[in-house]
Amino acid sequence: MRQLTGILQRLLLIYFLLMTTYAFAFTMTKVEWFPFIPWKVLRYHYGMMAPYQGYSTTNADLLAEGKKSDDTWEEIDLAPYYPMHRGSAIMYRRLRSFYPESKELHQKKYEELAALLKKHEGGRGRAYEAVRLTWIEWPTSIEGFTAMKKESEMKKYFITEVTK
Amino acid sequence: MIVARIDHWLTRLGPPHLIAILRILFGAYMLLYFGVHIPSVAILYSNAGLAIPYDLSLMLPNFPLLPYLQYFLTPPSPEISYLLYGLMLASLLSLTIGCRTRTSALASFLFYLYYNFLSFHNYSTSYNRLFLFFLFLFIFSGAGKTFSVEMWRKYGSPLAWEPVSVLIQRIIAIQITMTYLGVAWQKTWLPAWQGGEVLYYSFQGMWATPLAWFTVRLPIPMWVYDALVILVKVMEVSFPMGFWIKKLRWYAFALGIFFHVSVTLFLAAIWWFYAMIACYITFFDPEEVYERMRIWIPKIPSSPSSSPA
Repeated sequence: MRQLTGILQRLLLIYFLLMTTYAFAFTMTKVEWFPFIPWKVLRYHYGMMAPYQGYSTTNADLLAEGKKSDDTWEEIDLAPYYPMHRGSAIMYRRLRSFYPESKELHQKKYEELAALLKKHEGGRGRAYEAVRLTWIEWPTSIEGFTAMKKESEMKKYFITEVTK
Repeated sequence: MIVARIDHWLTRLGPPHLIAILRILFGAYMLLYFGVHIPSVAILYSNAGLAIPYDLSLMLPNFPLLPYLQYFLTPPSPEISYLLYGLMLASLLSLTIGCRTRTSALASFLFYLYYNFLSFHNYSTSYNRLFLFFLFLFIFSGAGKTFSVEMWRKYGSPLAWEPVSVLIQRIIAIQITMTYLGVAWQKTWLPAWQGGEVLYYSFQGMWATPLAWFTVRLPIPMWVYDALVILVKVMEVSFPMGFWIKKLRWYAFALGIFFHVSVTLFLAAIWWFYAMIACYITFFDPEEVYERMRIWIPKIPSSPSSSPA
């Protein structure tokens, strides 16, 4: 038993050292030297040494809107669905774990999100005929996170609209 | 000869106090991390909210039990979600106090995995990956071999101890080093980190704290931000190296803590720093921690306990 434990320990150690070295090399070269190692495994180890790599001169968020019976759209407050810090909430709303896989899947998941939102809003007494999601971006400003979140400054990327 | 020495350094037996202290610190931290979400469990992890589970076919496309696994990730009712959450908190508490430590670590790991695939996958930060990895390591760590209910039950005292392999401690230390160095090396060539703009714009972004907003409104010239970026790079390279040099270790710890506190003051990344700092203990030798503990708690036995006949 002790011998088996020793062997397992060293296997774990060898795996860890190889993957950590490989991930470290990847941080510098961005080259997958060993394509037979699944990207998800490498990404996991790489992800443990890759926080905060860039910045943006724009801020962004998901805009959710509900269509009322008079055919006008009103913004849905997403804050109650994401009770957390703004940064975390926006990260969640990006659904970014699906994006690298395929744009179609990313789109499909946003459709699921919109359908869920429509259902929950209906349950809260706001029965919309449709819910649409749009990704919006606006320039950063030293005056505040949403200071430049104005129609004239915003870029909008339509994502989906669900009626069911 | 060198291989044997390295192997000895990595896998020898040593006193368990160091890894037990880390178990308590990390377990308590995980309880806090999940505890703050108790009021929001239903909205975050049940069908009353907007949880979009991971699509496991992306990871295991040909796995025969895939539909069952995917079904398991369907967000449950709020009642069931609270039950699951309670079980996870119980397993974390059990891990923290060292009650059936290995089983508790395994349960905590599996729960973390569940919440990862249910929700955290959309927020797959470095620290979420690290925490999952550390929970996995605790399964094999022998961290319940002292300061635990386990030892109290076995020997009548939580201070009794049995030697454990230092392997898990070493892996955590190496991982922490590589995390800092990996982050630092990337900053030496990443285009975004060649000037102070990365800080200037981050202080206006979604992670910015009130202090960051206050700072960015001050008439600070860009060369100050440039200098801060250089300082960040120098710190991130130097303190993980200092961890391994006995004479510099405490200075390196101080620098590491200063770094994390500074980041947390300006960017809302509070969950990141506590666990990293707790892991600094892994840079000591287990005998050093044991001797220090014996000074502070003289009742700690001078030799390992042996199983009662």
